[in-house]
Amino acid sequence: MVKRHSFSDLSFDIVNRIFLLFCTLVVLYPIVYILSSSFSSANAIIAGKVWLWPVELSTNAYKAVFRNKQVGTGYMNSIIYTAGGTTISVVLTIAAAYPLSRKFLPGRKFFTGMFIFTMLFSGGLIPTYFVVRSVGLIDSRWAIILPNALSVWNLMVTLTYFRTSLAEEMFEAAVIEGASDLRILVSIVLPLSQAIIAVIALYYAIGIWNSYFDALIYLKSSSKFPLQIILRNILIMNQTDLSMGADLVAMARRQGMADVMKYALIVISSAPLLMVYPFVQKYFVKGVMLGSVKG
Amino acid sequence: MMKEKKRIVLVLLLLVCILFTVAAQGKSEVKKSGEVTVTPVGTYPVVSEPVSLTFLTMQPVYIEDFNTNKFAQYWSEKTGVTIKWETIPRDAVKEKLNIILASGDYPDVFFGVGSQEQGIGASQEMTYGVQEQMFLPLNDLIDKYMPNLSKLLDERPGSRQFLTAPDGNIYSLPDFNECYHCSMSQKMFIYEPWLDALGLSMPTTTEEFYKVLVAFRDLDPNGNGKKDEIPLAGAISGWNNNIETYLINSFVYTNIDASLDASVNSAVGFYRDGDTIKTMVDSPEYKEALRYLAKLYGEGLVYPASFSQNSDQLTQLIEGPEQPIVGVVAGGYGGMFSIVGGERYRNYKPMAPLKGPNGAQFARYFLQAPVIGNVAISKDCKNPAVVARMVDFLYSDEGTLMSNYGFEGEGWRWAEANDFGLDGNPAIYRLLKPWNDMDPQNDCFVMLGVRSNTSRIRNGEAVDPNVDLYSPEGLEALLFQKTQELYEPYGHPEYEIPTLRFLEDEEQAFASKRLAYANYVRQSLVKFITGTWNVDANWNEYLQGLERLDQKGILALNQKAYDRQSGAN
Amino acid sequence: MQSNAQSGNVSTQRGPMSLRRRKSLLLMAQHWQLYLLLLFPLANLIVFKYIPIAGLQMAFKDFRVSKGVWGSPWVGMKHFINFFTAPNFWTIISNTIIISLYTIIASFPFAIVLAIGMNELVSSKARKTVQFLTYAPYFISTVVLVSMMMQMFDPRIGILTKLIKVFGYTGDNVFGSPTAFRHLYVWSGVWQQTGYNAIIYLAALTSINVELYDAARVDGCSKWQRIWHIDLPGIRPTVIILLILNMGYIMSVGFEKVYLMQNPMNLEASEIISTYVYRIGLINSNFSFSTAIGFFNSVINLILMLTVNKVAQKVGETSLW
Repeated sequence: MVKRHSFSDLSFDIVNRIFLLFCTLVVLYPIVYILSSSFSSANAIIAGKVWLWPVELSTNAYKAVFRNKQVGTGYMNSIIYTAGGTTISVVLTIAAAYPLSRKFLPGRKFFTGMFIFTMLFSGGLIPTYFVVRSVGLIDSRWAIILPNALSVWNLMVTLTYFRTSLAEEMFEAAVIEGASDLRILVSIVLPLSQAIIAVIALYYAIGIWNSYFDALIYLKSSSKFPLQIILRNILIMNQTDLSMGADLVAMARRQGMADVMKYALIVISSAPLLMVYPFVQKYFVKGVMLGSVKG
Repeated sequence: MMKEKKRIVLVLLLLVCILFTVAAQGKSEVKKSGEVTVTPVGTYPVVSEPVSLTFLTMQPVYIEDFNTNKFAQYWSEKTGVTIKWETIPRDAVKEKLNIILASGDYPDVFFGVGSQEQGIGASQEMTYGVQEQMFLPLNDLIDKYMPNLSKLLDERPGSRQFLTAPDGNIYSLPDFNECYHCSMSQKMFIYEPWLDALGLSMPTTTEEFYKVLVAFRDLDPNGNGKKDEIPLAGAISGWNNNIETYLINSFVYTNIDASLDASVNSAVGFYRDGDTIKTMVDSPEYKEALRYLAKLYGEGLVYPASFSQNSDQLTQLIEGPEQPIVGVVAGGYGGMFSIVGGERYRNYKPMAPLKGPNGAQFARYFLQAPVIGNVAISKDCKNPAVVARMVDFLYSDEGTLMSNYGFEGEGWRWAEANDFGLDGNPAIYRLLKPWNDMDPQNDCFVMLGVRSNTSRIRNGEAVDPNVDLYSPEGLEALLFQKTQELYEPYGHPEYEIPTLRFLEDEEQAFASKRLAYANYVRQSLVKFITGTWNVDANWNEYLQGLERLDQKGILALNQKAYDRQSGAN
Repeated sequence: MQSNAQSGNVSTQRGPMSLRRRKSLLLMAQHWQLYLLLLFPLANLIVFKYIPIAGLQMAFKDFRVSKGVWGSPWVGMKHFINFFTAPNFWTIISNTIIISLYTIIASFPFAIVLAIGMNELVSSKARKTVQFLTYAPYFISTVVLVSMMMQMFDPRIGILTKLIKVFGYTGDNVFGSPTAFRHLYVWSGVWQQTGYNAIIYLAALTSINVELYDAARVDGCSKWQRIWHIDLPGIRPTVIILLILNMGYIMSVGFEKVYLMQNPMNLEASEIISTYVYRIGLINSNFSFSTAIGFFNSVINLILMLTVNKVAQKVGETSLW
């Protein structure tokens, strides 16, 4: 071990740790605040009494949400959509990124351009609705998964990764050994791309889990609704529109409920994704490329 | 090489495109019942043979399932019509309903997705009714088959014109929801214990009001030795939490609202003088009002964040601190800035409109117009007469009460001799279960659809004469009484313009102008109050801005639409 | 499955067209598996993205339900002119672009620095914790985010208000200030998304050849030098690509957060395209108008993206193609 730069290395470590500590604290306070608020009473929230810890500890917000029978189906549906959708999306993304990353491929620029074009231009809601309808996907679970299965953003990121992180020599070696394109994909590209696959899988999963608009537009049966729609419905109904002269007595009794629920909803809907993250983290590990390039 | 391949691909793409769009044009035809005859008006069932209709409605949280909803079933049995319910999540009404309207895939009846849900409103009626003729005109149906509705319309002069589109047709049926206290809901509340502590009486003029605010600021009415009092506070969003409207009305009648969400048509200072549409935003009285408000603000009597905070923060200001620190606050009712039934809430008492230096004393009036768009019939419906007859039931007293509250004897009962309503008159009904639009239930429609929730009915709810007015249960009674006592004398519905309908090209030509004008009026209002602009030095500049944004043109447009509407019948 | 002595780039041919063409066709036939793979995402793309694009013509028509997209009458640039002649058109456009550019400039450095910083942590537990925590704010809903901001900047008791008072601001009405609006919008976005954005850089960092690090250590580089000479260049392609992609979204600033933060006092800075379209109220009855605006946004986005892409190419960096 060369100890020559120990002082500057030490200063680096200190600066780095202070910086990261700062980041963590800046992020931590609001997170604790949200958790605490979700466990506080409606009145405490209205009066702005919550600062760090829960005030007038209460699980009413959570009860109000879970009392709704649809929350369970919502969770199940969201899990199905996320798991299925992520798989399909990742497969499609790799199926597009890998060929497009091979520089010699005729038509490469054309196809890449085709994908990028759709990132910028869209026909809009109505034409897309018509297409989904004519393909027969209205009120089908596939309507959540297929239309937006491929994110060009994720595709470009994957494509960049393939182009820049996978050494050309490996491909040449494999080709010399007589490997087909598919074989190369499976035995070289995929194993070396674990990090990027983990990333886009995560990004897709988050996107699908948090989405609600497609479900709103394309689904009719409430048994297929994902969690986000159900939660939004619950939230909205606790915010009765006053200008319509709704019964103020009922409103008064529920006053502030919507406010507390907003916090509880964040916790409820993000918990699964937060719990998934540690499993994905292990792919962000150095040394994946070790020994892959032969001399 | 590349070019050839490209060409092939393009041709293929084009073919596929054409194929798909051609396919997309075709719709699957839903088998609908043939036409049936309706039974004479006033009798039930409404048909002589079974018939089935599709109803598209929204799915609110307060209804579990339309297919098993008790009232829905009762209605279906009574009228002899089988209803096939299709629902849209409430959240999606705005987008999804418009997609459905644009797709041409219509149910027989659009039910309960009116303008209050951002569903079918004046512009949808214009587009899909007047222009595309995809909604059926309902004029004849109302006259022939809907006595309940006709009666309601006859009782309200001008209501038919209100429902009528510029081509003379009525394209949707309204929901009546007349809330008395909502009609004069721009209220100001004062913290009474402070008046008592300082030996002051309730202010009745702008001059007295100013003196009271100064006293609040300087004399430490909350007695904690700190000068932490905020004499006047409001919010920019939240029901009538804005302070400027109430105060300007002591100089000139206005419906101006500084909040960006307020209507660009009916909350920018246009008012009606007989049959002429005028504006007050360039009047000398308005200038004086601004001078007064600027004085209040400049002397530290107004909470600076009143024009940027929302009602949640205002509520925190009232409820949060150990000692009360706000003297006067604006709101549609106490719950807009405090916890209903709570200690602070009880002590904020509503104030009558103040009298200004030139004797003006007005209460901003909100017309309680029927909400359009709640029933629309598709041109493909084979049995519009059946729809008319069955919907008319909902406009009867019994229909309304059942739709709102459930079954007689369960959710409500007819009033007894010693029951008196909100307005002191003999009551019509008494509620047996507290009304609730939050929890899922399956007995009735609660707020959905059409009803005749007129002031007669609403005020006919029996109340306990001894109810604690400042408790949650006494809220309706409190609001009714205070509105009647303090605001009624100053309410002038004749100054308000009913909601105007515009033609499509008028909309397109003026939409951006109207928005820019409304934004300018609101921004200027706030600038004058906060002192960014000086009432004297910048007044001409302000007037020029109004002219530049074509105030004349917008006034003329409104006048044209008004003339068209009031002339039409 | 024949092995081809030529790998990597196709060398430029000066032969007759047919030779080049034959070569390409040969390549295509050899790599039919690649085309097969490509077929699936392409099919999805064509069906769900390209076919609806035919609907863009609505921007030049007055859409009539009864006539459908193809049968509606042409009106040329009517909707565009309507949009361009809006009294505050330039304010709207400039507000949108300013917020977007400000966001990009602010978020890029932080995400990169955070990723590198996390990567340098020796303890994997610490690293995972920091990653996890910084990634969490992404899930906070916009409504709650804005509400928390308003709390923290409360004129009387907000913690951040107290902070800015130290720097000489009154803090009376932070949300009423047009200049403050931009800072609030951008930095709350940075706070919320840096952790999420850093993930991609982390992944890019892991793909850097470990042998480079070994060589650096042998050469006696300090950590600072190592980061400067290895890490940063290693993630540069990713950074450039993300930058170019972000350019494609400049005009598309989201609606919700701005809408919640808007009020008559900060409107001159906070009126952007999406809130304008919402407030003008024509979206739901006039699809042609909203399609036209969307089309306009897309064109600007395209121009910006292509420009930056070209610049990247010229400077010798990675680019989209």
